[in-house]
Amino acid sequence: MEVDLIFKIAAVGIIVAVLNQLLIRSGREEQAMMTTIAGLCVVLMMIIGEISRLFTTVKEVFGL
Amino acid sequence: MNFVSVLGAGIVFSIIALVLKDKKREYALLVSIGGGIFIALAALSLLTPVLDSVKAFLSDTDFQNIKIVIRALGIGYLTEFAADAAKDAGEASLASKIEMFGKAAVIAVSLPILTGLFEAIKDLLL
Repeated sequence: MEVDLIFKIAAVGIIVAVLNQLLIRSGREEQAMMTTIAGLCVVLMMIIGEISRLFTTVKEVFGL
Repeated sequence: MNFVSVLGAGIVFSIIALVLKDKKREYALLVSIGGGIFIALAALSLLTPVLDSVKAFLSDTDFQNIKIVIRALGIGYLTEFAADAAKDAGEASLASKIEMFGKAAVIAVSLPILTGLFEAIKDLLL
């Protein structure tokens, strides 16, 4: 498993935080909330792939 | 994946999670879960040869219990992973429910051993 996945998650988090501040300052709270949710969905899709990989590996190793 | 780089990666992940914690708590949790997966996979890659040798060593004897013990180990490993993720998210009650489910799963898996034990006790006493 490569390490860069976690750096991607951190990057998405920082970008969403900055975008959030930008949108809130310019008075668009709804768009800020939308970008937060969108960023969260992207990151969740990435993490779910890795979690399923971990669980299948554990199942193979321990013969579950 | 040698030993030191995994430890270093763990420290880097916790720092990244700290950076994200005040602004965006959910991303900090996701970073810690991702890091947990990475380190868990590294630990598994170390553990596989051990388990294979144990299985190979005990496969000639008809010692079926070792399979159940290894399965219980796997269940404990996964349950602990999920419970810690829940604790990180601040959901202590959810974490305790997950741990309770893990214990129930381990007991369910080790049923043959329990029945064997009861049989032995019954033969001993009666």
